[in-house]
Amino acid sequence: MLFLHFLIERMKEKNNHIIYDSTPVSFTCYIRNLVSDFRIIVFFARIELKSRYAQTLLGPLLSYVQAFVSIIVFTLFFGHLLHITTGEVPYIIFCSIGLMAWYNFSYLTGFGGMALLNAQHLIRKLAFPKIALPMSKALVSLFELMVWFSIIIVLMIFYQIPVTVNILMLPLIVVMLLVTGLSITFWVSALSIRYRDFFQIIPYIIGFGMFVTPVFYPGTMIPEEYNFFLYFNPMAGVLECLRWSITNSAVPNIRYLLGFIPVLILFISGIVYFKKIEHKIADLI
Amino acid sequence: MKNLNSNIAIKISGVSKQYMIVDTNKVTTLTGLLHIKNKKKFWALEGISLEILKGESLGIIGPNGAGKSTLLKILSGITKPTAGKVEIFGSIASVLEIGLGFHPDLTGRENVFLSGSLLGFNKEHIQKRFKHIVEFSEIGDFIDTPVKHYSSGMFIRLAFSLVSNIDADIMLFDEALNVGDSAFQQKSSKKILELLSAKKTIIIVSHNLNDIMQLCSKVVYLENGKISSNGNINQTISMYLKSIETHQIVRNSKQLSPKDILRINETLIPMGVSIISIGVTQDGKIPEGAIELEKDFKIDFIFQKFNDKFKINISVNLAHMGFVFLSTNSLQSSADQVYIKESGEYSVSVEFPKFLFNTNEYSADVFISCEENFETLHIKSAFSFLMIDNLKMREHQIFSKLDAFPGPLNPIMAWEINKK
Repeated sequence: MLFLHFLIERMKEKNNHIIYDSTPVSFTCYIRNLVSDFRIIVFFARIELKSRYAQTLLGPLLSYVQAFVSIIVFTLFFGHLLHITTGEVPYIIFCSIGLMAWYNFSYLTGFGGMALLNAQHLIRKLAFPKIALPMSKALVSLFELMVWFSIIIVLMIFYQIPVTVNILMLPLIVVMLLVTGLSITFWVSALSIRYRDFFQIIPYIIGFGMFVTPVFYPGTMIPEEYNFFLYFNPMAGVLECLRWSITNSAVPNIRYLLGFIPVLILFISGIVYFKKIEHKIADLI
Repeated sequence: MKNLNSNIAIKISGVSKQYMIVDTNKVTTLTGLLHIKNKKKFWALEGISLEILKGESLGIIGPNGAGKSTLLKILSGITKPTAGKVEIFGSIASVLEIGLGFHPDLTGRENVFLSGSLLGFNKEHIQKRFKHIVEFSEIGDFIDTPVKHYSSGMFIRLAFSLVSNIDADIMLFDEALNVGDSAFQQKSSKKILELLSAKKTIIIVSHNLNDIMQLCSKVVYLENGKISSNGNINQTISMYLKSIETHQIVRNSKQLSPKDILRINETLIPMGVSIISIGVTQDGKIPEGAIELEKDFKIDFIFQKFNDKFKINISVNLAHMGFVFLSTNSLQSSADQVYIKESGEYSVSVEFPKFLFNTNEYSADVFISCEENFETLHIKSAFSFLMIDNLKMREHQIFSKLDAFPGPLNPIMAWEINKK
């Protein structure tokens, strides 16, 4: 942390001679600037969180209430009425993990996709790396994720589910989850500057995606011959990994990595695309 | 890095900016994608070259759409130039909008810190200046109230005091000074002067020429994306004024034309008055070019009055360079308190003394008003005239470097020396 701070200070000193011309900046320079401007990502996330809880009675507790209500509704409906069985793990925990990841994904794509459009005014009046806007949504979604995770911890203590060494992989899996969301968010938010069709697709992806992804049902419920399609769904892979890490369920099939290839391609090309249009956004939006 | 120690704060060399005008109706639909020729090119800036020295304050003036804001956007890095290069030496804070990033639901205190960090200044930086910021804004206890409950004046005061109290070498202001009530405006002008005396470099875009004259050491006049004039403040501003003058009746002419008089007379009918001529005269004749400083001059009104009903009053307002109000003079406020009531033909003139004005441009608004029915005809910039100093007697060695004395007036005053 201290090293990062030092790095940022060093970069600020260098910034005392700024040149603006028509030549594009190099990719490494763009990433370096992004790191030195990390505070702007934090800024957007803070302002979002602060404004969300301003003038509410419950404050951050509101997020707990929202998460809790969803868990109760899903457990009652699918666990008790439809009797979806999940083996050793109680349905309520199984479902909470699924919902945690899915809400994170839907928040990130839903709000992140509109991030640039909603900040039009700021973009026209201030110079900052525009990619910070969708990235800040990832930071906010991470906060939300912690709310969900704390509920899951309480549930696990209540049901006395043992935690294994697999939990150490959790940070990496969360990064996978955020990267999956961001890969779509980058492209949707960037493309919707010119064509507003794109962010309107998002609610459909979220709505339908919930059914083709094992969020509230185990992947084993899907017939063997259709299992193949699941491997192309990156969220399915992330969910399997999450459950493996938290509740020590079956080790995910290696073939789930297949779905992660397009995610990585979209993620990296999204950053490259943002870099390419960085200075055009203010003129286009 | 070799220029780092030199005196230049901003160096703009040959900056151009091209925009595409796109017919959005056609292009954003799928069918429109096929018609790529809908794009039109448009140069917002063309070959701008400028050097701004450290501690200098530059005013940028120009009509709307001249490229002022585009230039500021390039200087603050929001958009890139299509061609050319901008070099900035030192830290820069650009205030293209006051209160940028303020969130209505958050309190003044939260907004100061958040908006400060948006401008590139960390918590400690703001913390150090926080007391100053609150004091300057006169917000007081309201600092912990959500800004949506602020009056617009309070909001603007807080936002301005934030941006003027942060510490950057170069500061850009876009129309940021014309905010708040007049008392706060004076305060903010003072603040800018303070920043200037602290050797900050300041660039101001403003339509308020008073501010520009008061605060800037250099003025650039942009027109159609090009620099029209760059240098002497008086010259540049008068050039700008000439181009934007949109007189109601007179357009850039020094005297009223017969056509103008016809138009004036139409509105004068209810007062029962018909103008025959209005004009500036010197030595009993209409001056061909400029008016000479060393002689008196008059504004003559010749008109006919048809009835005895109304009392007519005439007044003349003088302005320096078209925007600094100088004086108002009316028939009624003259020593004898006369006004015109009886019908008949009149010739009324008002004399302006010699050696009162400076060698500069002046304009006069004429008001013809009727006492009884409160009707007033306002002839905006009925005359504009240039004063010249033929004798050159007012030149002084100290000022020999200047092409004109500054200021609107230059009367002869009596100095006395008493040696004791």
